[in-house]
Amino acid sequence: MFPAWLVGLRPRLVVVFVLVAFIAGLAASLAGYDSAREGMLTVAQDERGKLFRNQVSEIARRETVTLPPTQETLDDIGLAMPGGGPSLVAYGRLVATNSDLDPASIPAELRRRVRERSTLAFQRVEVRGEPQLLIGSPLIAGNGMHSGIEIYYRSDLSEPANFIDQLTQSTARTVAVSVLVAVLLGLVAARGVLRPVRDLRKAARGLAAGQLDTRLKVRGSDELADLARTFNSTAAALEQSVGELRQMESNARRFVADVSHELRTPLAAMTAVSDTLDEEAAGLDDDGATAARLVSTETRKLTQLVENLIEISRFDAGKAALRPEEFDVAAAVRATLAARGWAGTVKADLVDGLTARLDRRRLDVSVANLVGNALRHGAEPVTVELRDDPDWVIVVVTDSGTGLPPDILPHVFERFYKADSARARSEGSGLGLAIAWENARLHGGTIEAANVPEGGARFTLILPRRVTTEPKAVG
Amino acid sequence: MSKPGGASNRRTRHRRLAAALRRGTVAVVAAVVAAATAGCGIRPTSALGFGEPVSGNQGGYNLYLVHEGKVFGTLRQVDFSRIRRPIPSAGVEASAAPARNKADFAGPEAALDELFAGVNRAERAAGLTSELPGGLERVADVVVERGEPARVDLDQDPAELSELAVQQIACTLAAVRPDPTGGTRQVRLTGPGEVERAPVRCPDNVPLPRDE
Repeated sequence: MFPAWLVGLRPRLVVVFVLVAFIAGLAASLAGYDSAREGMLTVAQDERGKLFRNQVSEIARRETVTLPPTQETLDDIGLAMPGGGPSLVAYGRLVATNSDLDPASIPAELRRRVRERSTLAFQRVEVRGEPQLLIGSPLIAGNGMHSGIEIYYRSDLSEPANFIDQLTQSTARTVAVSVLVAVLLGLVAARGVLRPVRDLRKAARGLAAGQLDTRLKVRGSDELADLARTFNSTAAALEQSVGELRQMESNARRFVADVSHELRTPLAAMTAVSDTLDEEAAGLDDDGATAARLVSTETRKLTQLVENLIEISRFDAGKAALRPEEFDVAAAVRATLAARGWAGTVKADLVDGLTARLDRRRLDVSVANLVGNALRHGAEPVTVELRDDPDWVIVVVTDSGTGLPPDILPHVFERFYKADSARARSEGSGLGLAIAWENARLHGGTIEAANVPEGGARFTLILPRRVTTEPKAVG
Repeated sequence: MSKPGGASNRRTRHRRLAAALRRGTVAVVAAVVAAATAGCGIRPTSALGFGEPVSGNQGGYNLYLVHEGKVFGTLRQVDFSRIRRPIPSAGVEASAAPARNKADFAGPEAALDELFAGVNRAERAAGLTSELPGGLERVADVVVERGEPARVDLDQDPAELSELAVQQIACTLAAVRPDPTGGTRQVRLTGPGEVERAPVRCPDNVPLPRDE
């Protein structure tokens, strides 16, 4: 399998650039090389051919050459060949040679050409890997008459061959250099393409992380710039939509907060009146007493609801602040149970001597809400357990009811979430678990809701033993 | 279910891409190597003609003997004082194709007589032979008509001559200037009792002297 760096855009661009440069360079070099090679060989051959002809015709004009020739005549002609190169003089079966050049080493085609077509001819051959030029000619006597003598001469072509080799090497060097340049160009081009792509990826990640004001710098007017522009407009539209939603949400929250605050004052008066009514209920007839008690109970509940709403509003507005203090957790939990009158009904299994630095009021509220919820919706016995842990304060509240249905479990901390939709009115405010959860979160902790195998619901409050973080805004 | 499917799809796609890349690379490399090796160095060539053959200034008769089963042209220098009839052949204007050396003035009969005389010592030493039987003689001058094969009347039945022997006569006659075969390279032989042999042509792969 190819590794990532081999299938990316950059290597692909580089490979394409290199291939283009390689093929183009090679094609151009080969075209030039081929014609240069042919030209050079032609020049070398022509030159040697002319030389050969001059030499041989000079010999032919000598009066010492008598025809038909004897072996001595052929030997004389062979000796007269200047340069001392390999030569072959043949007449019938008579042969004069000064080297390994014998009739068998003359290609039949060249031989036929010289003998039957009566022309001077050459042929390039390889002798032991060395390029050689074979030149052959019939010896034409005076006035175009045939002497029957054939003369062959072998000439070394290694000099032009070496030159051609050098040409090949320089061609290879040129191609290598152009490939190197192509690699650089490919990298530059890849950079030009990849930088905007990298920017885009970073910006998209920023957007996903919630930085809605992320924008790209638009460079140039190519397709990538178009993409950046589209990204920017998309981000702007997203930012606007989300901003509007947040505005609406905060408006709604402020409205709830305002309403709660506005209800406080009349509620205080109502509480005072209902307290008085409560005290006097004994003196009233049955219907009047029932009504008075009802008003008193509902007023208390309403007061509780408004208090909870104000508390939640504080969380929403980010105004909830931690006031950490050092205290004994077991004692604090016992105090909570005692203050609510649950000391007898709730079984407490608390590790003593565990101190923590937490907001005591918020711990009190959280534990009270969890226990209250267990008492209201679960079944007794309810147990509160404080576990021993070096880093965390873990308070587990378990009831013995039927547990939470699986479809309820994810929503149990939502506000006013009714586990039983048929039950229109809950005895609680519907905000208890939400407030407990917000408190835990404010501490940097959490609450986990689960069912125990025996059938009850279990809420586990987990808070850090030492609150070090600053109180953070909720939102 | 969908996940492994997607992964395997991606994998096959990758593999296909890799295979395509590999195929492409191999093809390119092969082409480049082929082009490079084809263009490198000096390759052997077939025989090529190159200008005129070399020539000297010896004179004599161009006779056609036999070497390795083929008609073989050679030059026999002669002592021109021996030539009996230095006159142009009848029926051919001397100006039409000027004679080139003293041998030509002796006419085709002189060349034929040289041929009929057989190979000399030097020629025999070089492995040359003649298919013509010893003692063969012409009984009259060569009959020359324009554009017609030369006619030679022999003292023997021409049908008994080998094809090669008749080719020797045809080539030797065609090499004489002016050309007694009228450019046909052919000879018609007759013998005693009006026997006549069909014209025989000097083969095309036997070079005749060049007209310069």
